[in-house]
Parts: sequence; C-alpha cells; structure tokens
Amino acid sequence: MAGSIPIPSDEGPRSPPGESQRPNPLLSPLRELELVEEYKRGDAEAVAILLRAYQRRMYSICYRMLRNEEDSRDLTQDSMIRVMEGLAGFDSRARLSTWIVRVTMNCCISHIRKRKLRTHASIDQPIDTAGFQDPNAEQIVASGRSILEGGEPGPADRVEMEETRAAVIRALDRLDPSMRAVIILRDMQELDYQQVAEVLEVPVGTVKSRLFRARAALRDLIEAENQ
Amino acid sequence: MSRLTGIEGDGSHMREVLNEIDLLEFIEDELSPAQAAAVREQLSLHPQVLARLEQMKQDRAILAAEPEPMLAADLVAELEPLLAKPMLLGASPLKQVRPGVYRARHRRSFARRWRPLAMAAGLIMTMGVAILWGINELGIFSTAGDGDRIAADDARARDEGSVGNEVDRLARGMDSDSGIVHHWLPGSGGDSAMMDDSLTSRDVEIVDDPAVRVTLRSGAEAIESPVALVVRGAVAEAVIERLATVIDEEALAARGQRSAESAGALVRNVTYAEVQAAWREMVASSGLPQQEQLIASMNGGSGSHAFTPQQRATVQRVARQSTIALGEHLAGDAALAATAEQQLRFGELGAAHSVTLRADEVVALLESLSAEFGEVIELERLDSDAAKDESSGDDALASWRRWREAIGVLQTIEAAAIDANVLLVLPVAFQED
Repeated sequence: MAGSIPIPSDEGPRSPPGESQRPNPLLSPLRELELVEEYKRGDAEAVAILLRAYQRRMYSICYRMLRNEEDSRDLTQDSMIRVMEGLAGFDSRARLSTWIVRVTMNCCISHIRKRKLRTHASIDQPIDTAGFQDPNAEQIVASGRSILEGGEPGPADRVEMEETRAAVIRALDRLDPSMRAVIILRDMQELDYQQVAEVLEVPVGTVKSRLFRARAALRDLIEAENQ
Repeated sequence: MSRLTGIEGDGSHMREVLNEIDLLEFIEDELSPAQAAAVREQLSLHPQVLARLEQMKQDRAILAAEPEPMLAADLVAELEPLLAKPMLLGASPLKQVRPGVYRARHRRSFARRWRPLAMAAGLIMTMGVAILWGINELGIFSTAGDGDRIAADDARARDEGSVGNEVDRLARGMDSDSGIVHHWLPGSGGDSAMMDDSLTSRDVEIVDDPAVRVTLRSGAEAIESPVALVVRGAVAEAVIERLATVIDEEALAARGQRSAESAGALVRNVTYAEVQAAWREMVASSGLPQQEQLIASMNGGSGSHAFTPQQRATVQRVARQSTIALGEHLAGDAALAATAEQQLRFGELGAAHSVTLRADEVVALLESLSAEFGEVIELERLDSDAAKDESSGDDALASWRRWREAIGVLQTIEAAAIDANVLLVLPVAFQED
C-alpha cells in the first residue's frame, strides 16, 4: 500500500528550511471535493492524498495546543481517523479545510480535558521543553528581527528577543484551552473571523469578544511572569 | 465609517467609550491610519491602557511569526493498514486499535516500570537538598544580604513558633520574585497557628512600611482597591442598605440585570476579637494539652510548646480548620467577598465592611451614592497616612481634592480593567461625626 499512494511534490506554505518531512500538496477546493467523492466510492488513495495535504496543518494545530511532539503526532493520527470516519457524512456545506481544522481542534481540546483529569492522579508526566529550546534559533531570531523591523540585532538584542518570544509562548501554553484555541486559529493558522467562527461553531461576534479577552488574558500571564 | 468603532475614516465622530471589538480592531490593525490615530488620541488619557494594547499587538506579531513546527515523519503512511481496509473504520471492534492510543498505552506501561526507581531517586535528591538547606541555615554558607537575612530569620522564627507577639496587627510579606504581598495572622501556637498554609510564602521579605500599597489578588480576578469608601455621619444603615440593593440578585432582576452581569458581594468584616474567640473555642474543643498556653500565644504570650508529633499534627489540623470565617455575609455571592485576610486588614484600618463589585461599575455606583447621600460619602486612601496629610483639612476644597484624587485612582483601575470580569474589592468605613 505504501508504494501505491502518490506523494505530490509541490511545497506547502511557510516551510522552515531544513525540514525533512515530505512536502505537502496544495489542493484546490474542487479537487478536494473530487477526492471526497472518490473516497466515498471506496478509493482509499483519495483520502491519503487529502490527509497528506492537511497533515502538517493538523500536526501544527496539535503541537501548538499541546506543545509535545509525541502527543501531537498521536493526536494528529487520531484526528485523521476521525476525519476518515466523518468524511462519509461530510455534506460539503462547510469548507473541507474548516471542517478538518474543527475536527482536529476538538480532538485537542478533548485530549487536554482528559489529560487534566489524569494529571490529578499522576504527576510523573514528563514536561516537554522542546518549545522553549527551539532548534530553529536562527529562524526565531530572524522572525524577531522582522517583528521589530530594526537593523541587525546585537547579541543582547537576540537574547532579549528570544526571551520575549519564549515568555509569550509560555503564557500561551498556560492559557485556558478555549482561549488558546482562538488565538492559535487567528494568529498562527491565520484564519479570518468567519473561519474561526465556523471552526468553533460560535457567532463571529463571540469570536471577536473571546479573542480580545484571550489576548488580555495572555498579556496578564506574561506580565504576571515578569513581576 | 467603521461599523464597530463609530469612527469615520478621517477619525471624526469618535464614540466616547471604546468597546472590546473596537480595541480588538485596533490591536489587529484593522483600522485606517486616521481611525487608529483617533483611538490613540482617545486613549492618550489612559496611557497605561494604550501601552497594554501596543503590547498585545506585539504579542500577536510574535505569535504570527512563530515558525511552523517540524513534522519529520509521514503520519499518513503509518495509517496505511487502515487506509487499505477502510471497512475497519466501521462498526468493527478493530476500530479501537489506533496507533496513537497504542503508543500512549505503551508509554504509560514504560512509566509504570520506571516509576519506583524515579521515586527513589527523587527521595534521595530531596534528602540531599534538605541536608544542604540545613547546613545553609546553620550559617556555614551564609552569603545573604541584610534583607535576605531578615527574611530568613523571620521565616525560621515563624517555624520555631517565636514570632507573633503582636496579635493586633497582620504580618505582611512580599514574595521577592512575584511581588505578590502575602498576609498572615501571627501567632506562636505551634508551627503555624492561625496561619493559612496557602499564604505561607516560601521566601518572604517582611514589609513593615505601612505605605506599601497592597495589590493582593483575591480569588481569580478580584483586585483590591487602594482607597476606601468613607461614610461620615449617621447614614451607615442607609448606605449599607443601598449597597446591598445594588448587588442583591432580586434587585438586579428587577432592574432587568442578571447577577452574572453585576456580580458582587457585601460583607461586614470579621474582627480580631471574633478570630480570637474562634481560636479560643477551637483550642478548647481540640482536646490538646497546654490549652491556656495556646490561647495565651494567640493573645501575644510567649507560647513555647513541647508537642509530640501527634499533638503537633493536631495543632496544625486545628489551625487549618480554623481558617478565619468570613464576616457577616450581607448580600451577593459569598465566594466573591473580600478574603478573611483582607477583611481583617480593612478592619484594622477602620473599615467595618467590604464590598466587591465589577470594576467598571464602581465609579458609577460611587457617583450615584454621592448624589443620593451628598458630601458624607468620600474616598480615602486607607494605607497611606502621608497621602492623607497632604490633602488634609476640613474645608470644601480639601474634601473635593481628596475625592478627585480617589476617583482618579478608581478610574485608573477601571481603565486597566478592560476585561469586564475584573472585580474590585472596596473597603467601606463609617465614621461618626
């Protein structure tokens, strides 16, 4: 089966340099719907193409919600299976991308809630600090530079940028999952308000209100850490 | 014109009050330059709010620039057995066999095998740290400065049960890392008699300066007002009744407001005499020996006790159970009321009641109280005698200055509390003419 699934070669968006994963394809909405129909008719390869197109995005959501590589991989696969299970009933009224993001986000929030329950019983879970010791230091510094729109930063500036960035990420990880979700969808997945509303299944006004409160809560956490 | 901000493209016709969505549009750069400039101008009266919004913009930029996480494997390939047999996704029990679930289970069993070893290693580490700490306490490695030494001495003294001869005042400690001020009731009965475990700071610096402004967070989102509502004359009962009405659920319902929209609480602050009486009663019912000494320790006695470990545990249990009860709950949600520590401190400063309100409702309430009761309602700093001296005097101008100063403080709080869920705990003092 492995050799029978085609692996398209076009590069997905915002791929970090040196990434060793297989490139993800970009599919047009029409092609996506064709693949859904093919899968409903029993073509397993169709869903493989769909999932490959979305696997990095799904993993990205999971990783940002959980900040743990292994759990994120597991949860991405669980989400994929839920997508496969749900595709048969997918009625094309929602955009496929939005629907897949919704399935993935629901899996993440559900997982976090279960993990919270488990944490009360077990305290031996390792803390994944990968997010704070990012191997892509150069890329982060470059990002920080673009944010600050300054000239070439010196070593002290780099350290400060990295500390600021780490503080924001730490605060995001401590944020309530529903607030974290809305920020991740808006800022890191770059969805517009309407798409965020579809993913979270709430009105656009609620999204805006929740987003503002999430930003305020994030700032509170950052400031609390700095005090 | 922006639908949400009410601001024309050239920045004119700006609404007086910006709401959450206006501010969100500002943060997300969805306003035209003129609109953004108009918002900036409006917020120039509240520079701290503007600074906070600019920081929220920066947070957003940082998150947007965060690189995608690397995915080193093709996760779809690992699902190929399921892809080859999509019928497994149906009602078959094999549906339960999921790679993620399997790996998680495997990790858990691995953790179970190694847990005893990890616990043993942890125990050894803890003992090592404890021994080093003990050596340090004996002064062999002492390098702390004066402030640290005082803090350490104080912490040790508390542990030894020799602090707490001043029962008439609360001890206050500021966590040097977080800046949070902790409060506890000093007592020398046993380890931490009458001391709330949750408030026992690990490493605290005693702050004796009464001018230190307390910004203790009570509960999740309540902030404490640095000024008190002072009511002069014989209108105490009427004001209390009015405050109770403001936060009473039925009254809210009559005004068409749900309690969740105007959450609050009103309490009569607990007093030291009540705490002492409660302590005496608990000691009496504890069955402990040396009861007189224990009671005396609460009242400032020497309190040197030689308890067995079992007796010590009992003392600690009694202390935990003797968490100071709230004062008389008069209205609203008791869970939102000022904490016992706040109540005691307010009482010490002369405020007999505490009211908790939504921060963005406080100014309107005070203005309505002032309109109803006239000049007998004032706001004053409770924690700064110096501030009082600066604006002392009985003439109308001094009174007006005090009021404006206090209103300014509250408006700052209100502006900072842009989240409508933020609550304010306000002490209320009644002063007879």
